[in-house]
Amino acid sequence: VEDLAEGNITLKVFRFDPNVDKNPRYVEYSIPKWRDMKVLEALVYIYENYEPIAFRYGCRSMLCGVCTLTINGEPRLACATDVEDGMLIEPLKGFPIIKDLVVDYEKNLRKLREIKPFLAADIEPVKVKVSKEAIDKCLTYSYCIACSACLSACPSAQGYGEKFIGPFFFYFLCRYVFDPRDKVDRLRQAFSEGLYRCLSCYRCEEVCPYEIPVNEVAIDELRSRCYERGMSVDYVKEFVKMVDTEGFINSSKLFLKVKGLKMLKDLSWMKNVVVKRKFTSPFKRYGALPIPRILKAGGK
Amino acid sequence: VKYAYYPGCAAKGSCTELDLSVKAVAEKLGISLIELDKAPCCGGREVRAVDPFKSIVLNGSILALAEREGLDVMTVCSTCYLTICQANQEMHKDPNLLSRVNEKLAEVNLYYNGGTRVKHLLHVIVEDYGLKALSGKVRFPLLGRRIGVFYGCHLLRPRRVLASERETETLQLERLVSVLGGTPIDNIAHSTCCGFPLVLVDEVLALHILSDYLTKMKEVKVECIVTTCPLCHIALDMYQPKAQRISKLRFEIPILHVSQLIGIALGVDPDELGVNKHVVSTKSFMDKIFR
Repeated sequence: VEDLAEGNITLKVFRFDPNVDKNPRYVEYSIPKWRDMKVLEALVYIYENYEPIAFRYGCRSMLCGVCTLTINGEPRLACATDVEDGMLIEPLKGFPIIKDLVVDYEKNLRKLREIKPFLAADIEPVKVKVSKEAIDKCLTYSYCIACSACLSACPSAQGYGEKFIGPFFFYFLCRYVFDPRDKVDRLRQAFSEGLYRCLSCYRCEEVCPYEIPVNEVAIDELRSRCYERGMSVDYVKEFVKMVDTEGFINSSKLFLKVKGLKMLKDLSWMKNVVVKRKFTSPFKRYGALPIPRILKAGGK
Repeated sequence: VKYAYYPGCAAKGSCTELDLSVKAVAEKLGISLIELDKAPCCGGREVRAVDPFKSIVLNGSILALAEREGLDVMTVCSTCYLTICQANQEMHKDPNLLSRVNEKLAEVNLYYNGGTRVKHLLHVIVEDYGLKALSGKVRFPLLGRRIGVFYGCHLLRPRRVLASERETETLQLERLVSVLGGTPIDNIAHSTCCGFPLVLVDEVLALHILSDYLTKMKEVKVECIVTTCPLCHIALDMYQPKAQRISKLRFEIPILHVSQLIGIALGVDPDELGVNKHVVSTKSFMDKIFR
């Protein structure tokens, strides 16, 4: 280790013991840094040489997914993140804190128990023939380590009321859509877990340690299959219909179609929006090329 | 410099002031725009999710119309930018897909060779026109005012698609605001969503996401927020009164389109920029600049 030494660095670490502390505090630790040192190694160094801070880790090699922390404001795996001078180390945002950097994943475990992300078959699975294509497809949904980085970064999952189960759960569900042995209606499950509350903001992909394009491979995939089965929300149905019939979105018409009489519930807001001419005429036509119509005529 | 201007649905609907200000600023800077008035909706992420091929044909037609003019496409919406770029890349990678798209486009007498490049107004100003040239035209510098920058997710993410489109894709809005004389506030500019995609799906959830962002911007005392995306503008401006009500906080933060902010600094008549067409009044900010 001495051969690889690169001088000293200082880290700012979140500390909080609910049994003792009234409020969280941040403690600075000066530690020696060596080449390729990871945040996890730095935490182990602090634990062994300063004081016993609480944090979780397991495999040290990006597989177990339990060392996820908020590092400089972003959810990252401690075992895979190069440590830098001045780094701010905090517990994973969006979860209740048990102590220091350890958070409570009970919410995740409860959801996992609910959605049953395992092969649900009432027959002996071995009797069903699984094609090579199905196996390949299922394998594309096998890279998530459930580290919860995407959940922490997802505005919808962290938003009000837990109406959106969160990115990696949809990835798990999608895997069983392609497994012919699975007997649970995974599309209905996805739909009722808030599939259409994904913002397509791509934060999940941005923070995923494996850069899994969760939105594209899981959420869009589930949405297109749900849509074909008529499981959609008014907004998407009307949006697609308007593109199909008019080639362009008339935003006030879309708003009226989706909200209907509900818009009368907020008259003062509506008045302001109308006065500021935020609504153009719902009868306005745009003269766009009839692309969806030619598609319909020729089939997909 | 000349571009095929693709305004998109929002700039022709709920954000007509964007269309107005883009044209006024382009004229002031000597950038000529040929508007693609026959171009259809890009389909957004909505059509993309439920029918990817339809999305690619829609965007193929936009690219083909621009190619016919021999021009690059200029969008003014982050979502249009991502959606058109993505379709363009997919057609480049897969000649078979391009020919399937062309079979469809033939029915409306279009053909796409694959030669159109896609730019957002921000790229046109920063990369093509140049910030140095722009700084020479600033007549009313923004006096160091604290301006929150907001890109909209789809000008930044997913990097898998967007990284290959630009050489220097980050911090362009921050640099632009500095050149116009403002102080860019970018504490969470790269990691936040405005909540727009949910305003017609789950308004309460959308308003919580929106008020989270506005609260953070209020804490860092921004005097206005500038955005590159009209969909973000709809959320941040039109839905701000609702976000105030749900969070019981008073924000009153004016939201400007990037074209409006440039126009203000260049001395374009505010009426031509449509700054009076916002739900949240821009008067306090305008008074600070022109006092």
